[in-house]
Amino acid sequence: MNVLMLGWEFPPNISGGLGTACEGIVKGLSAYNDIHVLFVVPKSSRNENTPNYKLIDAEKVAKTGKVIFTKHLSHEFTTIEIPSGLLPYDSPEDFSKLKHFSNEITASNVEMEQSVSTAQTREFHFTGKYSPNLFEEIDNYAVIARLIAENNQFELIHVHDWLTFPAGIAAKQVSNKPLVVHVHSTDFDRSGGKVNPSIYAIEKHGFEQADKIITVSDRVKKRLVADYGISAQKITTVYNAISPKSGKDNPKVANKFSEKVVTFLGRITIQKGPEYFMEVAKLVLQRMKNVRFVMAGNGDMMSKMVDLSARYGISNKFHFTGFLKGNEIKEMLDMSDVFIMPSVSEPFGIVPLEAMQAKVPVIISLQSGVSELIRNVIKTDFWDVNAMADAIHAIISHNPLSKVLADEGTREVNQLNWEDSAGDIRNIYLNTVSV
Amino acid sequence: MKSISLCFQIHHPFHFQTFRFLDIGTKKSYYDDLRIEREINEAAINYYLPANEFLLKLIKKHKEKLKVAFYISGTAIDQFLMYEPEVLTSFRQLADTGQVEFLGGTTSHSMISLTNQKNELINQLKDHQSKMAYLFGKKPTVFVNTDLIYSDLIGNDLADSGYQAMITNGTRKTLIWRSSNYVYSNFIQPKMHVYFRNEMISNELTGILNSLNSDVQDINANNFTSLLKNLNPVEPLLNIYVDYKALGGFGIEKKEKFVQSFVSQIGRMPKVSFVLPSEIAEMYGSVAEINASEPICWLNNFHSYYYPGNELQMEAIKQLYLLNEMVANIDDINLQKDWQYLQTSDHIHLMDDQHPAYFSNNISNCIYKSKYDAFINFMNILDDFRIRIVEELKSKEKRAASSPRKGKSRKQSNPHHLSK
Repeated sequence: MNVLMLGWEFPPNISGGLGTACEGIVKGLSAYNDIHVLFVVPKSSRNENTPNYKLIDAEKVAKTGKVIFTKHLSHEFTTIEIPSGLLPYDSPEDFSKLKHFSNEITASNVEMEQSVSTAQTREFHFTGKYSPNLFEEIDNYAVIARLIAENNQFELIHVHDWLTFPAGIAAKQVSNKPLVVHVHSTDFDRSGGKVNPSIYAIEKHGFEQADKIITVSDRVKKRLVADYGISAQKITTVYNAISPKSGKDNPKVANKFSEKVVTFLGRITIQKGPEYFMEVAKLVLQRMKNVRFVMAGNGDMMSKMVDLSARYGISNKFHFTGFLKGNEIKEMLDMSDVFIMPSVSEPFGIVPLEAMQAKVPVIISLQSGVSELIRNVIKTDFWDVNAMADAIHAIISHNPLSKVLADEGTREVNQLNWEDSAGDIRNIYLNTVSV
Repeated sequence: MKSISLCFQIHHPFHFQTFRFLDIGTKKSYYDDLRIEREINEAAINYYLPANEFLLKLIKKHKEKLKVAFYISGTAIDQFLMYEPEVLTSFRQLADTGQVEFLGGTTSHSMISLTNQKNELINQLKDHQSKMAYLFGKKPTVFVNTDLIYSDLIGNDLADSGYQAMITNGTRKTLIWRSSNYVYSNFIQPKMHVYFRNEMISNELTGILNSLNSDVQDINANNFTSLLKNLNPVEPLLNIYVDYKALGGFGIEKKEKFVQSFVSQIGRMPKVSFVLPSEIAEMYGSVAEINASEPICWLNNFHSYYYPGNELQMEAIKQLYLLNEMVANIDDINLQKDWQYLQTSDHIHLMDDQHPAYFSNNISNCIYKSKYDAFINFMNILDDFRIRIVEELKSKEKRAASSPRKGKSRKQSNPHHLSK
């Protein structure tokens, strides 16, 4: 079976978990000989050709391909020119800088035909990053997807998150092939409740047009049923996995402090619950001396957090690292004694799995999708700072607890693999096509 | 001649409430009193009181024929005293028929027998024995360990403590090819008789009673008695050991009908009769010594390979019994009670993934989400308890120093704590 898969980013060109998940799924599917994936991505830094999946750089198609446009497309979408747009996975600093423009957005509905006609005269250019004219880029992507759909043979379309929904629907229209929509997050998760109506509309339309929906957790599934009015029957949860640790095991970075290190790692935004982490640090430091707290990452709430740590009088034991990438993340996890993810709303959350791989005891909020999947972690409500403080205290005080969490956590996470997740996805493909 | 010994177990632990490390030293109570009270009320009203009433009638009707034994844990006794003393009255009525026997146990329903702390084991045995004697008029002579835990060493310890027989679970692991329907003797101490619970028949009975809960189908007692008839007639004994709750709750009328019909069918069968566990030893001698180097057990609804337990359980038990020596010097009645209630095996069982409380289809009031929560809560409580013990020992020293003559006479009496 040939699958046309439309993604938005692909490692190494990524700024969030979406890219990692896309890579895992595509690579996982390549384990099945009967599935061939054509993966379309706006901007790719590499053209990877492995036997079962093909990366196409959408920009190149636009440059070389024959662009055919029809009126059909024009009424399906609203192109909104906005100076800022929401940038779900871009650098949170940029996100927050741009965000305060959002009140001044002048949304003008531009007929797709118009943008298409301009497109005919000029070359498409995809940045591959979430630029302020995000909505325009999404629609351009849809045009290209349509083009690709016309020029390729496939039995099914698989798209990832709202950014690619318009493109997926366009491809479905020209090809009449079933559409599978994969939901890694919804705008409810990303915005902390302040949902952007334009994004919501694109998401809802995508869910409705989909023949099958894959969610990364039951939590997201429930959200789709409750807030988007989607029938639960067409939604299946397929949990994300994690790639095995790369062969070359760099020496473990030692903890430079004599104290134990408790780490928060993620964007410092409302979604991730950084203020609960701060509260927990305060509670623990009231009773314990031998512990330090690290907040790794950046985001729009960072300066507020620095202020808060000063106000709580714990800044001598509370550290900020700024944005970490690649190997720095691994080093940070290596020197951690506890990893904590107090997310307020986390559709899945892949970092705890990385922490478990690194043999670090993990505490996660029950408001995360990953908490449905794994057992050998401590789970609390994100608002239950007493429970989190308690868990940190216990892990630091009782070596057997820390050891069991690390050992059983690693064992558990090592059993996860993308081939199994891809196998579930493959079953969904087969069921969808056979209907 | 075939003898059927019918035993029922009653146990209720003192459930903990959430106890954070921030609560250590704040004098917060360890127990979820509301849950404890609610559960014991519910159990008394819907299960034990009606079942006792029914059994009493049945025993009077069948005169000498029907005999029943009970194991009631010390923690359950304490809860009855606190919340439902009526239950104890109705058990006393059963005891007075002379056809009902009460079995001995550890007063805390603890796992003390797995440790080498013999002094505490003996304390607990004696405490439970005297409770039984006080409440039901007779000192128990047959022992039932917590969760039917048994091993060669445990059997030997129990023999040293004065018991001559104990009941354990007839697991294949120990019996291998042997039948559970004979009397065996301890490997180290042959005077100690070991009775094995017939696992198949006991589970079958529990299964039938539970299926009478809601099901429309009327299982009649014939099926069950025909199962009994199929047992090898040469084998002299049948030990049935089930949770007493199986006799009450939803569908109690059906259950009563079933038991009634079962008992009268047994009554009509030639050469089959009910016996009390204490009578077994007089009737039958041991056929062989049984070798159980590793502990075996029985847990209702939950079976896990937890002996000697997972790392969390081992750590918790180790840390708990490190306090034994200090507690031995404590006279404070509240601390003594807490010491007993902390030892109840349920707290330790909850530190296992396979505990039914952690399966989503199981409706439970458990405050824990995982074995980790159970461990953390237990260790916090233990920390708090340790601090209280140390403080009490210090102030005891002070008291002794200021009035040397008065030092030892400060023992208080406790309304629930029965004569030693």
